[in-house]
Amino acid sequence: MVFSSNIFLFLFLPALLGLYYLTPFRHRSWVILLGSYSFYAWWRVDFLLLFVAVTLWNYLIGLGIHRAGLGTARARKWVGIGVAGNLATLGYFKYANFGVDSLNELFLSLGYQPLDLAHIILPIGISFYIFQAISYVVDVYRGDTEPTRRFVDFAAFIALFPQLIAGPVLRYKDLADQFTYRTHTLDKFGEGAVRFMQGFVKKVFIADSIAPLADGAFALTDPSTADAWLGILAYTAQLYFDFSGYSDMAIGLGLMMGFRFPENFNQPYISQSITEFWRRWHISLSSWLRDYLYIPLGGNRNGTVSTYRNLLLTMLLGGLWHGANWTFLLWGAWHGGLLAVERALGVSGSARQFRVSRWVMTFLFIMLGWVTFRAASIDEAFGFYQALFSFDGLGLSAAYMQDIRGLNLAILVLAYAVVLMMGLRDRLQWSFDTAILGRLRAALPVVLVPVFLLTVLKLSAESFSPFLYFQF
Amino acid sequence: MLTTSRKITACVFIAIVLGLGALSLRSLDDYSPKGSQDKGLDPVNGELARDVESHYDDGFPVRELGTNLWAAINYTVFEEGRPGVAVGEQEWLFTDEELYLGTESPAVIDRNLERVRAVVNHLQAEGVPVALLVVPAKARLYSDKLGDLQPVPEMRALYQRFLTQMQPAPVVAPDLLPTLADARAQGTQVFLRTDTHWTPAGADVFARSAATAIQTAFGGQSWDDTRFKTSLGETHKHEGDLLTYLPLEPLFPNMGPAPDTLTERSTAPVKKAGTTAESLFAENSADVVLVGTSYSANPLWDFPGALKRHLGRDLINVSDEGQGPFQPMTEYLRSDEFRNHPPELVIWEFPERYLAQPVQSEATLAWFERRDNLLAQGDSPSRPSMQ
Repeated sequence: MVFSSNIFLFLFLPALLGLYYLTPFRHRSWVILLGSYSFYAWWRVDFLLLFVAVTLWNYLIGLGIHRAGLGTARARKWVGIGVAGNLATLGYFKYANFGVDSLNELFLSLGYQPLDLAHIILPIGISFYIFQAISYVVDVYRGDTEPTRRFVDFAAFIALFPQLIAGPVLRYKDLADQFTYRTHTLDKFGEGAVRFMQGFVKKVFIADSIAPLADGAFALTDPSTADAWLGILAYTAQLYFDFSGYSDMAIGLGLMMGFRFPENFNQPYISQSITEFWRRWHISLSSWLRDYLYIPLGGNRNGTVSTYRNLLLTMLLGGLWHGANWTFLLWGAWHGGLLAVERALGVSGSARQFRVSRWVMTFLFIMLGWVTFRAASIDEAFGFYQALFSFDGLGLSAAYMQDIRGLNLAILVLAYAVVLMMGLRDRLQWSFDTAILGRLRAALPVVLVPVFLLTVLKLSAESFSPFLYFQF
Repeated sequence: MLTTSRKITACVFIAIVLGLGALSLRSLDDYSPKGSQDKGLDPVNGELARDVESHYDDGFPVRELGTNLWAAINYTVFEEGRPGVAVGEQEWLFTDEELYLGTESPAVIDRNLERVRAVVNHLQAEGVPVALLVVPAKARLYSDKLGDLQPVPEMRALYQRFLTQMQPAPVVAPDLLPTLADARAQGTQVFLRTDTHWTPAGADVFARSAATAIQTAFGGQSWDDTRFKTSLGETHKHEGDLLTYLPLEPLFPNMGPAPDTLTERSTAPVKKAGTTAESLFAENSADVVLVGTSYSANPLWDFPGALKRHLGRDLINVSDEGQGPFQPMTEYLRSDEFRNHPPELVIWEFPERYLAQPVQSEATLAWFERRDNLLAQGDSPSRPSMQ
């Protein structure tokens, strides 16, 4: 079940929220838990068992660490076992196929028989819930949070349906207090509704309308330069509106149940460096990578060379987290390399002045990175790069033109207008009179509600489209 | 002010979700769990859930409204329909298969030309001659209605290329484009405005010219020994197949192109005086087989009837709708009917655009593959001489 589906929006959500608000506060975690399990089981019932097992495992590990005592060798053993168990689960379900396929390619090239392994299904959302589970056991080990006393609160946190499938990657310590106490007001619910509708419009109205432009370009076996540039421009916008739209919906749904999740995006395409980009893009993941990977590796504490190594390693693993494919490793290497170069050149991650040349350069680097992120294979990615820089004319190929509709192009232009306007507003700190700003915010629903309704009609008119981040 | 706005928004959001949610429950009324059991849907691996969701979406209360509204936006703002249709001028619609190749690679044309030759060679090897009737694209005959739309170069050259490529082959492939163009110039509408297909009048013009070419080429066969009469039926509005790509009705019935007007035709043999019941029920021995697409299979155009009338001879029509020209042909070649009673002549109706479309049918592809294998093994009677 996805947020941008009729069955979620008009059956599951009202039923769950109705039940939630009719239940006394101390039992609401049960409603969240059972509702979230139903939400997950809609995809597959059998993989819900794995999900429950992971939850139980981490709950017990958390208790074990706590009983062992902070900083003790036994606690270290507990956390080691816990993290290893989580990584083994992720490794098996997400990377076993990739590992065997890569090994088989090597074996075949050396003339040996390939290994035979049944195809393993990737459980939806596993990358997110395993990372959340790891953050929990590590935080308990570090003493950043108490282990949860009520299993239902922990299980509800891991299963919390708004962020279950595609993030944001939440940390228990950020939400623990909210399980104990949170407010429920009509004002907060309204804030959540506005946020949800914004996300829904971003996803269904913008991202899905742009999708054919990206899909069409990447489906070509021999794209022209114009095809490739239009395709990557489209994919760049599609990915942002798809994923940030999902995050907006998740944050909105959280607010409807009284939770306040951390922000996951902050106008990433206005960044003036890759360092800044990673402070604005998928913030919950980059924070996780920083706190649970980069810093444990040594961060920037052990000299220049190890800092570069740690940056590269963190981004390589961050890339691999997105998917079991060499393309994601290459994408991670690209970003890790750029971060290292920026560190070497002393490029600021929070430049105050807005310099167009830096912004253009950064945006170009981000787009070039998305090529490997989107391509199905390294060969396809390099074919696409070749097309981008072969400069064989301004014409779009006929096979691509066939897929292009006026609406797709119009929405692409609209998407970039929104990106530019919101980005510049953030970058240039445009200040409005407080009274005017208040009126504008208050008037937002007047525009948003009709557009939301139009988007609901669009969803009903077209076939369902899954979120891009469902594959990660 | 902001708080008030949020509270109002919350109420509006709740009203929308609850209102539509309540209305949508009706779409689940007729969902039958037993039906899903009959379909063998597994509740554990998500099959059942997807089936329920699909059923729910199909019956969603605003689905039609959404479809109509977005079709109206696309048509009025961008002059576009759903993928598959190209909107020309003066309410003329075209299938985009006539403007673009069906695949990225132009090699699809060469591959299909090889397939046409393979069919012709197969029939020749069985001693059956072929008349190939290439139907020119509507976009070729009505190029003035295309407006800004432009067929790609491969499509522009397709018709002539098809005929030229057939020249060395032992096949009769008359050029019937001039006849249709002349008829159009004289005021006959040869293709429907909102449909992929020809008008009954266009089909008749095509049949007359084709019959002349066939009779000339196959003079040894008996022609004109049966008389057929075509009767005009009712004239009614015809909503062409291309209108399905502009789903404006029922909300905006007058926004899109007006339907065509079509006068139905039907053709039947003229009974000779003294026809007996015995002769009426005599076994049909037409010996001429028409294989083709919806241009021949759909009785609305009466193309087989017109062809019978102009040939003066009955024929067996084994055409099929929605399958392209290759699939009906390979199905016929695999049939007992063909194996046990090879005809005197096969007439193959072939719309030119299909030459640029990939063949999808597994069975059809298998037939060509098997034939290629036979050729490679040297088992085919039509194998080229090694001398």
